[in-house]
Amino acid sequence: MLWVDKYRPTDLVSLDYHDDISQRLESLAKNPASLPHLFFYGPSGAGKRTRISAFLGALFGPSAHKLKLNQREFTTPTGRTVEIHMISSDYHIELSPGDAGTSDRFVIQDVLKDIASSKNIRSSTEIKVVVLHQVDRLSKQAQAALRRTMEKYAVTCRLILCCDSPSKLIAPLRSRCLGIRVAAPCEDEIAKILKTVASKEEFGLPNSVAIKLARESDRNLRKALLMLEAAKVQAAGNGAIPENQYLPSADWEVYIRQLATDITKEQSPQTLMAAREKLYELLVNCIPASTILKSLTGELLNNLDDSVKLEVIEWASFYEHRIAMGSKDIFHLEAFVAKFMAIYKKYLNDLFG
Amino acid sequence: MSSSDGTPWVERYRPQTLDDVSHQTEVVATLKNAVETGRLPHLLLYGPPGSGKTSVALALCKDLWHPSQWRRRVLELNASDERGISVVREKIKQFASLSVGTADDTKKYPNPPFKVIILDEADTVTKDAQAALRRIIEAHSRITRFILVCNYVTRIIEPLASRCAKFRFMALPPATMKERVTAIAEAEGRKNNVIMEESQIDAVLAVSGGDMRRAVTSLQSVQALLAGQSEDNSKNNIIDEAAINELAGLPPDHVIDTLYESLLSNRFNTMQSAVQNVIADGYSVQTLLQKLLDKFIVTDDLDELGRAKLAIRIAEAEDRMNDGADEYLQLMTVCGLALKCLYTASKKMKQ
Amino acid sequence: MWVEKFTPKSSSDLCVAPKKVKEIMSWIQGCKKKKQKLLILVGSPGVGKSTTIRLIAKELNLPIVSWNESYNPRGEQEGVDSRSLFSVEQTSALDSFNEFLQQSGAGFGSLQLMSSSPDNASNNSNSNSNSIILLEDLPNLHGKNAELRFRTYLSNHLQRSQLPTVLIFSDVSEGKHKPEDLERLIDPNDLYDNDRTTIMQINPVTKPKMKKILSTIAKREKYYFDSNFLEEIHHQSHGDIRHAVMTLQLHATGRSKSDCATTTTLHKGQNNRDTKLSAFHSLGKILYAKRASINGVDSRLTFDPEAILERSDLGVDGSLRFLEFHSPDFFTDITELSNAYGHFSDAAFLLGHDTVSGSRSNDNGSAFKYASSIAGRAVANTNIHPAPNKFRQFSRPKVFDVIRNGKQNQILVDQLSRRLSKCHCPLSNFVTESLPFVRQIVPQDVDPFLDNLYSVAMQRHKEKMKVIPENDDDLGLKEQQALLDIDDIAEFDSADDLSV
Repeated sequence: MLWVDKYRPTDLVSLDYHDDISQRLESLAKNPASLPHLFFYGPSGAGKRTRISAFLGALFGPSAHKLKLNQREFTTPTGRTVEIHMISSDYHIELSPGDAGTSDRFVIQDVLKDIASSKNIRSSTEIKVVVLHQVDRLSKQAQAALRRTMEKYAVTCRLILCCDSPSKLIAPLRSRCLGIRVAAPCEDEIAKILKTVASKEEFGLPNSVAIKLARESDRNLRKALLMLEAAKVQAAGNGAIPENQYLPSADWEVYIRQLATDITKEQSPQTLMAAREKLYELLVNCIPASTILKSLTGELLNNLDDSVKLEVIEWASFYEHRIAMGSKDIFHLEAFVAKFMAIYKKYLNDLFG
Repeated sequence: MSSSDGTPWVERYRPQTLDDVSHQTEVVATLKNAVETGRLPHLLLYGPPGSGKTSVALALCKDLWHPSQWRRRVLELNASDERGISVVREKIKQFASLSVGTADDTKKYPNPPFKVIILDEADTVTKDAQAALRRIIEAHSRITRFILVCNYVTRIIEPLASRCAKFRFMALPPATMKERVTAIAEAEGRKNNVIMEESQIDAVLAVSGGDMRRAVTSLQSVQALLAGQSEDNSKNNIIDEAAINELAGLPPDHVIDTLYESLLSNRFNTMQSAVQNVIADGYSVQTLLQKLLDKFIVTDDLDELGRAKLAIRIAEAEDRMNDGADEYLQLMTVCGLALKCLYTASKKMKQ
Repeated sequence: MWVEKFTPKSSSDLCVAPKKVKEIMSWIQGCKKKKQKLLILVGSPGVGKSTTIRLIAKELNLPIVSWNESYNPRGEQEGVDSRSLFSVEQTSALDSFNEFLQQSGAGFGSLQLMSSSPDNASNNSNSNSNSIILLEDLPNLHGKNAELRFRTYLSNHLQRSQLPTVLIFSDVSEGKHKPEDLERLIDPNDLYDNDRTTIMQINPVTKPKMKKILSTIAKREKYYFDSNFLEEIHHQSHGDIRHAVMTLQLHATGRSKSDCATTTTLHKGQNNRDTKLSAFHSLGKILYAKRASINGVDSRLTFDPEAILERSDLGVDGSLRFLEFHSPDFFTDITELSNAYGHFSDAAFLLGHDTVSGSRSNDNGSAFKYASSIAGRAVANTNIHPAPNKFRQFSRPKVFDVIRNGKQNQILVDQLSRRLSKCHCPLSNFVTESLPFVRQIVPQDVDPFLDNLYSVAMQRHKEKMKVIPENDDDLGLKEQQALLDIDDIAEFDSADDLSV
């Protein structure tokens, strides 16, 4: 088992940071009948899921952690069937309705209708909980439908919504939920957790390495823990991770860094063709286009003069929007790369005449 | 546990009659007149969320008919529920053909000889469906009245809007809200053994921005938290204004201030790391942008041109985020521009 | 029919390039020694693939064993026709195909059955060691299952068979099935194994050659056609000699001999055969963006971009991808190219917009029209300093492979993420945050799962694709064009909403 899973806290008390949130969740869990719908949001790797699962444990007792993994098929009115993976316990059910693509609306309505009409196995008075992950991936229609559905079944079931970026949720939904913001842990908190895990695994972790890992992780605890484990594998042996340990990095990030260097070095249609190959490679490896663009922009900004940064970021946000709007990601990625090269070339020309 | 029936408070405390409706006096007066005469045109109720549109529509019906009649007289349709226009048409047809029957208690109610169809969230209906709706309204207008409810009147096609009497709802002023919210807080607090301080109610009102539904929802959340704590007997009442802001997803002032400080630095990297921090802290960029805009509008650090530019850029960013664009890049774009505008303005001022 | 009447009588009569004929001949002669097993002849219909093989076999005195759909493994020579009806019912085409492969591959059994050898005696004595298995009429393959079975059969056959096999691959074979990707027919392990497999491209008949053949036929039949007319026939046939001869005959009948057929009658007459070649050709125009020059000043475009895009077989969507893919080669200035890409992005955005907003009836697809206008003019309007005119190879935009592989990988990664972690996080986060490190932590769990990932797949691909050495630009161009699979484009057209 990966350390990320092995050392995941399972109850509210053992959560490592954000004590105020834990306290609040505990208060809410005491009075399930008056529980409002909840909306967990915060960046990836901040611990939203961990908190949700700990909260469910507090709400329903340990049997909420007895999870079953199952698949369910839904048939849309148009006759299409979609398969959705779900995780459920006796008290709750978890799914990512965004997996259903354009049929997300029906999946939500079906699941809620089902769970609201079926009696709870253990007790008939208690409420049931539906956890919807990645609600930011839901279409606007599905969100609007959700708004009605959650009112309709409010008596018997509560929703817990969860996503990375709250702005992608429509305002009426947000205002119907009690918002719980899970901020990413700060670097010190991450470093502390890394040290704890290291001591539980019984190997030495120098402070400097812990801090370096925390910084490299972009305040993402999951990433930090995985990096720690990867570093340990690299270091080999049972001993401590040496101070000068080379820190593992994500291959695709290295790749993007290289791409950024390429297009800052030379600006020509040929460079674009070469860049295109790199973009293809990233896309085939399932790196989302918008992540590519964001990460590339980050790398580019590192090497730029302040005077051109604004223009680059403006175009980045322009093309990222295009990517978010529809299909043909590669068009917008290449357009951005070309645009950057044009901007940079002009900057160089102005600089050196 | 007295609040064990899970009805949201928003539903529980809906006004029962037109007289109960807060604030919207003009609308209420006109509609009461309609109730008395029994003559009702098609209605188009529009205004910001939580200003009481649906409540008014429902209260109107409750004033018109005896409860035993509602099922036959009133049909509530949600545009987002049943989007297919053919479904809507079928439902309306069926409903219109239902016989009215005789009322048990006609004395106390005006009991006018028509039916009412309430179409909620009418602005989410597509343009095509709206055009079809127009014909449906015409076909059934002899025996049915339509009440269209929406947030944005501009999203209703003109031919449809022109067939209705339009009523604009205003966001509720804090004073009206306070009266109502306090009443609810006391009624519910008595059941749950929770006493709310006035400062907490004020905070709830402050975050609601004139949206009654939001105010009541927040109130319910706050009381749920308080109830959990009081059982604890630990007297650490941490539900202060900041906590209530937090629950409503509003960033605290110091976060905005820190971000704004970084914008004055004229250093891109300082700004960038400030932006990265607020993103990692998980604040909703949409609300951050609104707060920033509030600041940009009043600040003396900017000239008028800069203000205008930033307002446009913020609007653009919000629109893009609505389409699902990345929050970080959008916030960076706004802040990048702000950095530049603030610098230009400060240079000008020095001269 | 003239097509049969004037069919080539010897390999020197063939309209296939003599060099190609020689190559094929030497492959057949040398395959035993080199352990070559499979020759794939790729080319559009009617360019003479089968004819070439048959003639060569005849000249080398090798019998040909070929399969066709009415093949009946149990049938005797004389009873074939009457029994074929029943046999089709009894065994599915695929089964009979398999049986055929097994028997013919082993070198005995029904060799006489379809033998086209002129000499039965020599056939009987020699067949066990020397004959060619010709697969030109492939069974109908509907559905994944059938394809898989076909692949397995063929693969097994190649393992076992002592005899060389020649597979004819034309995009459309007698209108029976739609174009199939070679890879779907043949296991890539066999397909790209250049020790055993050779792919050869038979190109469409060139204009001078076709004109020569057509006028020879005309002369023999005592008709007269003017040169323009023959050229027009060539253009419409896209190098399909069979089609061309039939067109010629059609225009000859009903007219008194030695009448002069003009180009106009042809225009009005027959249905234009649209093939993929024309799609690439016309889209190329948009990229070259030639302008008519008046008094030495370039002004109007020599073509109508909207019309080209509307008529293109690739559809606006596919055309857009084609244009975007090939345009960098035509530019010298990155700023101008960036402007063009801006336009392409606009067009893609509008196209997506049109399909996203559900109200198509009201819109009349206007966004669609704007998209094609923008895309059609993007290059012409931005490319102020174009790259010098030169010959360029057009190929199918690679992005289709990218999308396909990406989707496959997505499924793999999804499975992997479920296997590795109970608490499955969003797929995109798994790929970007977890996978790179999980890969370093437990490579033994990850790597076998992901052997399809691009870098690995590409490396293997490159090694194997070195097979087709093409020095001739023109050959390479047409080869790639012929391999274009429109189905791919249609498929991704509809599935585009899914990521990438």
